[in-house]
Amino acid sequence: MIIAGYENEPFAHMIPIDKLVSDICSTVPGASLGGISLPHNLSIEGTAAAKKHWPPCEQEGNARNVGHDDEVDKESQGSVSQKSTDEASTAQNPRHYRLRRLSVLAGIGAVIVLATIVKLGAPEWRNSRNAKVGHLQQSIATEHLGGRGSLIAASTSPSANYASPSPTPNGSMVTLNQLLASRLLFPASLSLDPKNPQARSRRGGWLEFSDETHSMASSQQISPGSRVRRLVLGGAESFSNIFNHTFDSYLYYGPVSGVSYMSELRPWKDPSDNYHCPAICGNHYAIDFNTTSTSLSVIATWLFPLAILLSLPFETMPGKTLRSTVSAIISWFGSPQTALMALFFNSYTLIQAQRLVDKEEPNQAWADALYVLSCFNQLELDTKEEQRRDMLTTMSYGLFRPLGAMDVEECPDMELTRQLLYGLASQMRFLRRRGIIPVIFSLGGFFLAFGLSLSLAFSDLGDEHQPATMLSLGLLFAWVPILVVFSVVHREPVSSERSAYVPPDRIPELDPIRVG
Amino acid sequence: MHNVDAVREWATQGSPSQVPIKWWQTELHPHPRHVNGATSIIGLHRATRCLDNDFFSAVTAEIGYKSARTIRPIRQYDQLAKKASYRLAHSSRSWPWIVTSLAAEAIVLLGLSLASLTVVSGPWSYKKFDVLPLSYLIYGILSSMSWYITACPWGRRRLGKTPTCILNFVSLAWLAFTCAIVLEVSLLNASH
Repeated sequence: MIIAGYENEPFAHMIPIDKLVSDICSTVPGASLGGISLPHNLSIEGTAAAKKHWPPCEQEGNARNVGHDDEVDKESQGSVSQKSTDEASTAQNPRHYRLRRLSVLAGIGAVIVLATIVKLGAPEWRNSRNAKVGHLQQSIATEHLGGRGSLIAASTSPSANYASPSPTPNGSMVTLNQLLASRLLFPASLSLDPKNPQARSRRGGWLEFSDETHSMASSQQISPGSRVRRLVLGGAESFSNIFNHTFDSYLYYGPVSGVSYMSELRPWKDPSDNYHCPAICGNHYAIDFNTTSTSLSVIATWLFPLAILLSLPFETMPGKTLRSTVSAIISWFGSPQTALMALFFNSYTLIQAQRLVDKEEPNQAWADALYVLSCFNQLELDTKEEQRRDMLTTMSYGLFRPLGAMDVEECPDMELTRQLLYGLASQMRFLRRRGIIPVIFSLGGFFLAFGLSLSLAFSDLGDEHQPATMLSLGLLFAWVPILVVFSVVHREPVSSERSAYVPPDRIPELDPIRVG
Repeated sequence: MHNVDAVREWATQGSPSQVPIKWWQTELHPHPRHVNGATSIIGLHRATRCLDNDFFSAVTAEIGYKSARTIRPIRQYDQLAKKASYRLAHSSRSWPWIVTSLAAEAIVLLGLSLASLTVVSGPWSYKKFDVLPLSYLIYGILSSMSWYITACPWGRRRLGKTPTCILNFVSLAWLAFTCAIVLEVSLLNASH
């Protein structure tokens, strides 16, 4: 049975309005025979005029579909065509589906753009670079030192023989210069403090020289690195305790996070060789990009879980879809504690209502009254005292009059209000997703997977090169899962658009009761 | 609401069978959205004002199951509404409300504190990130201001809804700015 004017509504078939009307007619003679005339444009079967009044706030939004509605009206004469009408109208008015579809598409687009940005340079470029670096390292080791161990031995004992195992035409000093310069072409952070020779800057980059060196270099319009390199290694000058024999002990050989060529042994042989840098590192040598797997891991850990935000109960008012959605986002993320406060307290109210129902003997009217009251508790009341009192007067009568134990013949309004209360509670229950426990269990599975992903992402957090900023970002949003779970428990609409009608607006859905 | 009121008026007249009930009609009455006392959903959108007055507790404190079953004259419902309205306007905060509001604030501030602690004491002491704890602190202050205005009974009544909306917007903008910095640096830098 479809209610007049509700053919387009997804829950129209669930409303037992014919039973409602017949119940009232059979139980309340005064109501059914009270001179209530059936409006000419309202019937159980439905007319175009009646349908235009539902939903009330959709009149503007549906103005575009008037032609379609007329076609639907013509088709709604038969049951088969009625079914097709429902499907057609559902496909025509899914604003919330459209919004969600747009959100999903935007999210996918953002992920693709981020993946593209993060993947710049990887993986082919990185593989080729690593191959070249490895080849050069190997060539240095075999030609001059026979491996890194010899290099370290030479650097830690300045008075030892600096000669290379393999003789070179320029002699041992030339080989030493080549070796040192190979590490200074892009010099690591070098501290000239003799008390702390291993100290280095976390910034990476160029040598840190004294003011005297800087001024000297700037006066001669040359880079400090090349100037010092030439003077010190050539034996012409020394700075403090640094001269050509002790220069090596001030070098830092460890990796520098964030700068790719400093994370490995610098393999250049000739300080004047400016070819290998762009050849090996390209124009992006200053940044050590993530690998593909790292990028995908970061995206899977931090971006895909944002899909849970779509589970939040967005409620889009017809014709105000964008504004209401933006308003909800601003309220939730602008002040999450305020939203959590409301959710916590309303959840507590729901628990209180359930306790009051369990406390008394089973009574459907009592359960309906408390359910409607708890739902009204989620609404913002008008600040005007007079309107608030009027609302309370009507509400207290409508909610608690059905609980009366008097005879129906004595109080016929009791049965009328009981039917109204039953209809309202049923309507409100239709609009809420049942089965909260399965929903929470499904969310629990999601959070379990999310936790595993987090633990894998930060399994090597103790490493000094592991950035903790993403973890801090995750902790910053630690309240999001709580907000989503409590939103599900507190108010989980099955339809964001229909749920936008607050209960006072849903009351007109009981309109067909007047046909009695 | 209109239909309930119509039944109430009809019952006040003694439920005469010859007098019709003035049911709500779309053609004759304005939409009740603008004439009823409730406007929007609390906690989900802009509305949080109802937390000033625990509506559910105010009504259930005045009437229970047994008393509701024995009410016969309709005017008793009017007295009940007056008492509930007075309780709404003059009752102080209940303990459950205080506990839940403090719990909500504690959850958010705990997350912010842990995030700041991670940045400060973590191994990644990049200079650029030294501003992150300060950024988190600013976000916590901005978001807590709106919470405080809503939590205080006087705040919302005196200041209205606009200040909280502005504060929420500024807070959200700051949060987006912070996230952009973190994502830009973290995604593009190395994680060996």
